[in-house]
Amino acid sequence: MIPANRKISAYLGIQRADGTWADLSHYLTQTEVELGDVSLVGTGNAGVDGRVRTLRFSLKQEGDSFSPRDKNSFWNTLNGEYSPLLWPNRKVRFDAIIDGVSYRLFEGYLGDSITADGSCECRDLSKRLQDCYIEEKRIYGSENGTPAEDVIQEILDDNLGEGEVELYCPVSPGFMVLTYELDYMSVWDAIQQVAGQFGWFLGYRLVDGEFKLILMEPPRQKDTPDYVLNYEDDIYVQELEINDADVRNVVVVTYKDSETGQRATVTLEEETSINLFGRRAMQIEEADTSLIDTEEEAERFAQAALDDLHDLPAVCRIDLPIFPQLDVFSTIQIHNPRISSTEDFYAVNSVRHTLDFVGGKFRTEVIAGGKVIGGHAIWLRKETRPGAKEPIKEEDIGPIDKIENKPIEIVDPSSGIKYSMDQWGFVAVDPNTEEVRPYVNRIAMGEASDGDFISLDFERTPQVKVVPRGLTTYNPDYSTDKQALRVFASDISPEGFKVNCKLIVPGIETIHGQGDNLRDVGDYWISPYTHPNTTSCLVSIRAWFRYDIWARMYNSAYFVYRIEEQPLGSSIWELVGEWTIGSREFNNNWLQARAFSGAKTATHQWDTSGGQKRIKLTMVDRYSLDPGTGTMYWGEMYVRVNSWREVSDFVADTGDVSWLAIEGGGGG
Amino acid sequence: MASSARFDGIDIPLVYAVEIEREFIGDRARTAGGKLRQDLVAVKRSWQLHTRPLRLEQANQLLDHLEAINYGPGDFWLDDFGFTWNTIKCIIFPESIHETHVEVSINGEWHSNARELSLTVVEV
Repeated sequence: MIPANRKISAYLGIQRADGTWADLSHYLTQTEVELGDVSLVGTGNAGVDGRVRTLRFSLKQEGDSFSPRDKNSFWNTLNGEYSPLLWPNRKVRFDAIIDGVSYRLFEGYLGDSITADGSCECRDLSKRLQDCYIEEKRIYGSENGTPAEDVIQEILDDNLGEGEVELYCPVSPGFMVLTYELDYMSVWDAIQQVAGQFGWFLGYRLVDGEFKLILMEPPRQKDTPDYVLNYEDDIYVQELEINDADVRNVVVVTYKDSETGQRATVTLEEETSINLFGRRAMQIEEADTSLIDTEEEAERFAQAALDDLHDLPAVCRIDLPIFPQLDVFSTIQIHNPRISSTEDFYAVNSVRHTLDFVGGKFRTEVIAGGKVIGGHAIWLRKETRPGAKEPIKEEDIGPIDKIENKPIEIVDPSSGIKYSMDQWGFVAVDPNTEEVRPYVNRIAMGEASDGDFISLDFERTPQVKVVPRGLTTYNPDYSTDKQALRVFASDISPEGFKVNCKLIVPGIETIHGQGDNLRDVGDYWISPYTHPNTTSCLVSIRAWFRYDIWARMYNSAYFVYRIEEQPLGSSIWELVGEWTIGSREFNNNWLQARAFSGAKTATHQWDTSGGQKRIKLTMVDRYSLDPGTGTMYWGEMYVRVNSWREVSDFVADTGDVSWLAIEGGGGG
Repeated sequence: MASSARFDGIDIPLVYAVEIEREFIGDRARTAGGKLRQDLVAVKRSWQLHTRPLRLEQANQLLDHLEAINYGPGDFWLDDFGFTWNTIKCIIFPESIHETHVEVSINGEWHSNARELSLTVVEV
């Protein structure tokens, strides 16, 4: 069936702001097109439930950068103006090309995730409908009933513009919608609500080489295979898992009849399934405001649920050579004597196509069940559990975002300003000027004296301001010398900072370059001796981190380091201090590992008793708070003295300060 | 004497041996029934070149150029390709370059710092 020797290539195009297409095929390293969850058999959202296709791709950096913030990159320049290529809502097309034949696997929009290294996540054309929120209450349907497909088209036209998105409905469902009011939900949810009343598929599918928003009845009665596959030629791996937990063979739908005004019940049963699995009933309580308000509609609704749930759910996971023709609702016949003694019929519920040009993997993975279904999880979500009230749907709760560990973002449609809030604070970003306005997460303030260490116990490194409130600005004992104020905060970390408030007679200041990179516990670096009469030192520390983070996990790396000083002629190292510097990051992605690398810095200032000294930096410990959550590249991570400064100032007086520490959104 | 290889127009003189290899880029695996099948993206060639002892300046001409282009792609020509304009875009990985310091007489002249080069040229 699938030829044993094929030539593979791919096309990835991204539409620029002026409508032209940039061909990035040459830079493509990996791509995945997915409809539904193929990682699990029998559970999770199937492609027939999700109805939204996603594309993830990675690009190799070669020559100009793909980072949207690189204004000098060729990719981000259009007619001499800055116009980033990888940017939300740029249209994306992806084709797999096999033996010269092109198969369009994806068309959609960028925006779900864009990284500087050229890794992106995209959603199909439904993104536009999901991002569009219905802001104005409108009445749809009519007293005598309006065809559902007309109602869907009206919703699209009212909110996206006349004819902007055309619904393709080759066969009318024959479902009439009576008058109802629609408000405050996304356009996508609103049209799915209509299609959900009669169990039809509504989503983007390839029709005549073009992705169209199609309303279609899932071919539930289809029993002829589109493709015949066998274990000798076509299947790398096939796994079978049988789980009857989600079988339902009796469906009871309660609804409000529009003629009688009374609540009524329709019950449908599937005898064959009852004989096989025993009686498994489910009840669906439709609200009084439901579009289902006649016996015929309730029966049709119950029949759709029964058709989809009376048999074993998705039972088979198959790993094939890339086979772009496979999509949800495709049917296949499989001959694999290792799994079954018969030639079995399956229908595809979820599908993922992977083209990995770096890893050398060109595969199609499918989750398939014994028959075509129009949904699985969507029906079970409607089920009323015994003893429970009518299930609360998302649309009943209203327009709230799910609480997840990801920034909540709101865009002001009038100005375009994006407000985002995460656990660290609140930030507003103006898309026109790219101005970032961080807002405050936590503030602490107080008064202190020179040399005091202020404990904060913040979670992020704060911005600290100190102003003198009591400090002599002139000491007549040194009237012939130049005098200066030194008021600043040092040793700033989430734990706190040190206050410096001095009147000094300036001496010589010498700045030195960086020291060795310390990677292993016990590694140390010693500076040359300072000049005579050094009265204070300021050391800038830099730490570099690199680690991977597995999906939905934290990973971290920390270095504990010690600074000591040794007077000339002494063999004793005197402790200046011991500190910890670290990095902890979370991977929001549900599917992919995240690679993190980045630097953290710290400064330490201290006064010395004068005389020539030398400084020693020692790595005392290194560790992760989250072992086993991703690869640690300890060999590349380091801590070092980035620069250090010696000063032979003479302190003429010390004083007090008022201080303000701010932990803010968007801050480090 | 004409050399038998060039990179970005720079002679790689006195090549006495060339080992040609081919790399399969694609997905090759056995099906559940044991049959070997493959999906091919491309086959890329690589050439491992070995030279006789060269004068230091001859070796440095190539090595300095590679460093100047950050060991990036260049136009490779081998006498097998025919006309000198029949070049292939290739990369010479720095880690593939083996440089042997030898003392030898070249054309009757003693060279205490001659070089024998061995390097691999890979089709991009």
